[in-house]
Amino acid sequence: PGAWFKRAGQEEEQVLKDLPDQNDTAGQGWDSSPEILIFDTLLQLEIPVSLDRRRAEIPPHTFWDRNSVTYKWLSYTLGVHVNQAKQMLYDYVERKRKENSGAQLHVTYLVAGNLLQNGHVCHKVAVVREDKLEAMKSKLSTIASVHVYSVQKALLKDSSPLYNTDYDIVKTNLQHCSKFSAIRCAAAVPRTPAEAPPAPSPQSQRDPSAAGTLNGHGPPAAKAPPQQHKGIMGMFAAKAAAKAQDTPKEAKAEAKEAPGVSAASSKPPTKNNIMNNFFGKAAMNKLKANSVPEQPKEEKEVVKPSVAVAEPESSPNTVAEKPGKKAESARIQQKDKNSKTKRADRSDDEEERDPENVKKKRKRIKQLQSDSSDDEDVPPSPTLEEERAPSPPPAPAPKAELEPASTEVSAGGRKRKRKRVLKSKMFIDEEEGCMVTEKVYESESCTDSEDEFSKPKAPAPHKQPLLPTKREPKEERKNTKKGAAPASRANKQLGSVAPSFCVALCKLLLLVEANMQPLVTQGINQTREEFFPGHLIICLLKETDVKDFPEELILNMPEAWAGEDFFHRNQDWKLSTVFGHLKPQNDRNCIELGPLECHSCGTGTGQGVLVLLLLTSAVVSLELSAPPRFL
Amino acid sequence: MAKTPTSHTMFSEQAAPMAQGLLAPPSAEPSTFPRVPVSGYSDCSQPFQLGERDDIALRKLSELQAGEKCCVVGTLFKSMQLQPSILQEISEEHNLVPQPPLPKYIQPSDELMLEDELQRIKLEGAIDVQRLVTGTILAVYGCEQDDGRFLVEDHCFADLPPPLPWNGPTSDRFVLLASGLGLGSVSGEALLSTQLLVDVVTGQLGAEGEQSCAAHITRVILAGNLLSQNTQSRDTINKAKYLTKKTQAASVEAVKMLDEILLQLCTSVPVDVMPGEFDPTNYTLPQQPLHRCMLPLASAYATLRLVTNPYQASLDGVRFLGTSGQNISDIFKYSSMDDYLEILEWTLLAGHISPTAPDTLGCYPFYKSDPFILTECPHVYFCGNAPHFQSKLLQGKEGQRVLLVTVPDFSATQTACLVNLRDLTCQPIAFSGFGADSEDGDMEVGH
Repeated sequence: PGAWFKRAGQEEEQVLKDLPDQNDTAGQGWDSSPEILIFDTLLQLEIPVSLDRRRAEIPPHTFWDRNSVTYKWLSYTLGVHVNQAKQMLYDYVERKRKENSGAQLHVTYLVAGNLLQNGHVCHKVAVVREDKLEAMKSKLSTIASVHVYSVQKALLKDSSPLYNTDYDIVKTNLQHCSKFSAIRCAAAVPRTPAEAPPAPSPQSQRDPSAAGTLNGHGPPAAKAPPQQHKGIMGMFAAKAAAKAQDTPKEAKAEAKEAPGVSAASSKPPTKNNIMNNFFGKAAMNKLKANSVPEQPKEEKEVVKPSVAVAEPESSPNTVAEKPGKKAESARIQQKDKNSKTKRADRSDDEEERDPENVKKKRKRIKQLQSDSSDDEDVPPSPTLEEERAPSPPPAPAPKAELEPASTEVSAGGRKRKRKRVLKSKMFIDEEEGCMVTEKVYESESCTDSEDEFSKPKAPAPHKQPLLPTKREPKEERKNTKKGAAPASRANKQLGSVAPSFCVALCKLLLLVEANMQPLVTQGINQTREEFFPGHLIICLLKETDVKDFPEELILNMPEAWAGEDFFHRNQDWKLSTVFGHLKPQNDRNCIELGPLECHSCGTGTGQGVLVLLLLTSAVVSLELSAPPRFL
Repeated sequence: MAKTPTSHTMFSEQAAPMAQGLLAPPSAEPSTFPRVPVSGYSDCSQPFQLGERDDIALRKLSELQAGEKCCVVGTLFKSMQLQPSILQEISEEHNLVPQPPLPKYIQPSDELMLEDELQRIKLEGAIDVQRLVTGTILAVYGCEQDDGRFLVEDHCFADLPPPLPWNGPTSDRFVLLASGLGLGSVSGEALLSTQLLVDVVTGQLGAEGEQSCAAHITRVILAGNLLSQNTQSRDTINKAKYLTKKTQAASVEAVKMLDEILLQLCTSVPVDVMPGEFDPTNYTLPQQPLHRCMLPLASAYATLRLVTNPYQASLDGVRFLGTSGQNISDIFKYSSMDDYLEILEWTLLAGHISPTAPDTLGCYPFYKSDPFILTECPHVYFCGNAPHFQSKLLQGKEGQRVLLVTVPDFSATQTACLVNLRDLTCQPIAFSGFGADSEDGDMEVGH
């Protein structure tokens, strides 16, 4: 385990030792370089170093931030190797202290080495204050590195300002962040446009643009460095003159190198920046004003193309789904409209219903009610009215789907004709506190052609007045129990119209749709936003419910959908098919759904979106995004 | 007496010279011959041995007969009263009061059931109900009792999958594993540590020796939860739309910061980025890679690889397999096992990365094959976002060597780990700054 820095240990503190040695060999040391002077001046002048949005997050007492200089900051600022920067800092502090003028300098060190921690030999990398340096070193069994991390004028209470100091300089040099580091990675090169996967066209677009912005700075900056060096030299000539007779080769090389590197190099701008620092805040602010608007622009450019590219990718479904698409979008629109009203309704309803909410079970009662006589004026019970409020919005679409000859209400129609329409109604059974859903055929007036008119009158097998049912819940309940037979018969009837799986599915939707809203409101509200086309399905059918469903559905469902792995493992659910799954999220339950493939009708993913969760005998939620093809 | 070396090697020919020796009067000293010692022997007929097998019948549940000792293979289902269930909430209308979040959902009344293709049976006897979780595939040995329960006498799992050949490097190569950077958290105290981590890897920090060692880090794997949980504000769902109209999702800033950090890493080292529980990708396992459009800066580099969770890769001949930790933390909730390393090892022995999916853990509905079944034994098997660092070298019967690593949550522990590919050793690497209460921080280091 110690292998990590076997070698590191040998070179321990080398960085510290190197410099004084160099110093001794007169003339070649750092002390005479103008960089040091720059640094010195920086510290003395208290030039603001970090002035951007991050400042806002830093509490005021870290104002000292502007005075702390880290090795990294120095490295980027002066364009020197990180290890040189570390040595420069060390040398600077040593010199200042020798002169007794460095008393107010506070230094933080980086220490790295082996530490026994929780029974593991841990490689510890710590930034410590000078006063804790020895304590930390003594804790380490092997010391791999010690070097100056930062120098500041004030005693740092905690180390977070150090991060903030570096943040800006790192950010401005992001594209060249490893330029001065000790490790080179040959593999780390930007992708060429050819290499990049098809989508990055935004990238290749962006790159020139980014280069462009840099280039905007480029020309002046490229010229600037030599001048600046002169400028610095000029500025500090008085100070430097004594020591800096032998102009350091490195600095010169630096200056020559800078323009030569590349136009895109961000070094020139940074230099520019710093140089401006010297000339005061005004200059810097000007610079800021220049650079600030540029950034958003660049970002915008990045965002735009990526969105454009992402779009076709993200909507393969829409292509596959052409037949259903139109209706789907229509439905979605409609839903959007509805959702607004619904939301308002819901909150109202919930308040009103609250007492009932506490204990409420749902029952679904399917009945065929067909009235050829004037039933329109049947006074609906108050509870019915109340409960119906949320249900109408989703109803229209499926209704239209099921009844091919959809009801058209003409405003000024002369012939008032009646049409049978299948409707779901839901109300609360006062006596039991149950929520009861009823399927009824209601007649509506319409102006259809003659031949269609004959239709509605024919099937009226179970004539059961609406009113008494509501008023006598007991009878109603009886009906539920024995009602299986007529109900299923009725469904079979419907099923025989077009015996396809899709049809059955749609019927199922229709049957349960009215029940959806309330439960969704209470139970899985969150997940609603996760339902979208191509995704989905939960089907939990209890045996008793299945009886009521059309036969072909019962037959088809398990084979067609049940992946062996995804049977819900709950004993209580005899026939259960889970397409999404239940997941606890934030320690609450909600439903996450997977993509659906409807195998039996072979229509593939995204044909219809359906959420179907049947509980005891209640339907939780359901959604159909595409109209069935067969109807 | 002794064999004389001759050119004849046949048995009888060697014996021939002495053939007549006994046709003589009794000699005073009867000669004896020392047996040639056994120089090397190993029994290699193991595959032919049938073992002690007193006719254990392998039965399906439907074929069980009461009292008959037999072995049944199936999938476990653990019936847990405390398990959060939306069905329960809705059917009992308990949803008005959400179930309190619990660290663990086990309790003494939990029951184990074994399922096969057709039916299920309750298990009792020599089986640790609290320890096992739903979805585990196991074989039980025992008999069905009169009350219809199965009395387990013994049980076993799939055990370690077959080993992969070892082609690891001969010199020191390191892979850095880190997880849970937790960007975008409110406090942001781990930021300096994160930066130190980046600086060590990219060769900025440390003396030259350390930098040269850091150059031996061949790859960085970030195992999920790059963003903090705090970025997942549920405000947008709970609050009215008009209240959240102009607010920006917390994850936006965090992803930008992630991009910058990844860029710094990518300019110096190959990086694999796995998504985790709180990252902006799908929730269900297997999580798909983060979209590179989110990381415009870093994704310009070929060294950035956005990968799936779970992630499997061969690095320098060493097979890595790992997750961002959801599988382990989910088992933690539903099992009595408390130790992440223990759970990690257990999943390896059970032959399945995430047995609790899709029961309690989100999972894509694979219906043809289960990609989470372990078919090859990885050399390094890790899970991210563990509470603390642990590692263990597991030796299998068939020569498998697996380094198990629980990669600690970086934002909480400021610790990552370095795996040496040469000898499959693992070492934590911890970072720290100093705070106002630096003494405490140092104490923490000590304990």
